[in-house]
Amino acid sequence: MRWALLFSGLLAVAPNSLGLDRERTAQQLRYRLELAAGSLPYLLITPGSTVIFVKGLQVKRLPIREATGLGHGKSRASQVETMMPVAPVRKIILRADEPRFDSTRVAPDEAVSVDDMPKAFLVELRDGSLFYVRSGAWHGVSYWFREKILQLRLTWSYLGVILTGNLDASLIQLEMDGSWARRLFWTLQKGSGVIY
Amino acid sequence: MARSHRRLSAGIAAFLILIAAAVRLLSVGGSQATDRFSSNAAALRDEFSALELELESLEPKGPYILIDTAENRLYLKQGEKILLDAVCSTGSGRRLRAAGRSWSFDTPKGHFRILSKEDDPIWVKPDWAFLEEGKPVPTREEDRVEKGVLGEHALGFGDGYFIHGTLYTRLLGQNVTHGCIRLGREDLDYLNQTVPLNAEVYIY
Repeated sequence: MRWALLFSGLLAVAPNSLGLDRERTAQQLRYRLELAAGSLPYLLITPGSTVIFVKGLQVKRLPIREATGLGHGKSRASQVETMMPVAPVRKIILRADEPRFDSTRVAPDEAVSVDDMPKAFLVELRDGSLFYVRSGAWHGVSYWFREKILQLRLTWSYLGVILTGNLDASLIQLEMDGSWARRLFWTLQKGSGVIY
Repeated sequence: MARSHRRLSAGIAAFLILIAAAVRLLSVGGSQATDRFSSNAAALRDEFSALELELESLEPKGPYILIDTAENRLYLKQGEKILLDAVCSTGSGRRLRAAGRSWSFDTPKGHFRILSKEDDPIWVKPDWAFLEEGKPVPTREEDRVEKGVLGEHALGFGDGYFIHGTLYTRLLGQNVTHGCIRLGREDLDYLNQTVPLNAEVYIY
């Protein structure tokens, strides 16, 4: 009897699991609407790409080579809390007592462009989930070393999140082409919405 | 012998009853699950349609502007149709610290609207424009006015940010501005003619 009940139970579960993807997509649509109420760009992360939206309008798509840790269950949404690049992002600070440039004479290396953005970085979301974005290519010993430090930081942060009892927190790794990773970093800012 | 026969038939009967009960349970469980699934699926389908309609209603109705600050490109679109694909210049990301104050020269990202349109705009230079060049901030308003540097049109999208022209077209395509969006003369003319007030601007 128990086997029969178990078997009938399995039968009852099967169709629901077929509906999980639909439920996930519906949840993503709900989040897209919710985040469209704000004015900042927000992201939808899927296994194949990162889609950037502004006010509900899809404006850009950044391909992902490989994504691990993205759940198949319920979709979730949160906001970017902190972003940690593999190396500090170049900052140009002008001071009134230094030789200065105006915007008519500025040279490319006197401005911050997308090429200055990191190819590997860690994003902490407000719900405790962590995104680790990397390009996977060899960029030299110094870069490799910095990346290992960032990965240690990632493990430490994730352990911290789990130890505080937040068992729902996800650890997601996205492998992207370096130029797409830089563009993703460029788009993100504190408070940006992320649907995953 | 008769007793063992009776035991055997009782055993067979019990087994058959068990099988029947299991079959019944399976069919009830299965059909309930199927019913539940199809009603859930129908509800989800309805919700899907409603959500998609709501998202579609957010899409701009008239011409709208997309500005990709990573690529320094401005697109004017209507629906899916691209009306203009132009090279522009956006914020340099520089920081200025002077006179105990600080400024960030970034182009703001997000959703905006065209709030003003001006022909032959004049530039009322803000404090940072003087401090950046190592000059004292003037006390008289007329000393702040500069003509001709913003091109022939300026389309304001709030907080002192404009889409305007430039004298330095060789810098188009680079992140060099103080936050405004610079366009070449012909592209700016077309944009100014095509975009109405209140048109939506998406910057990312």
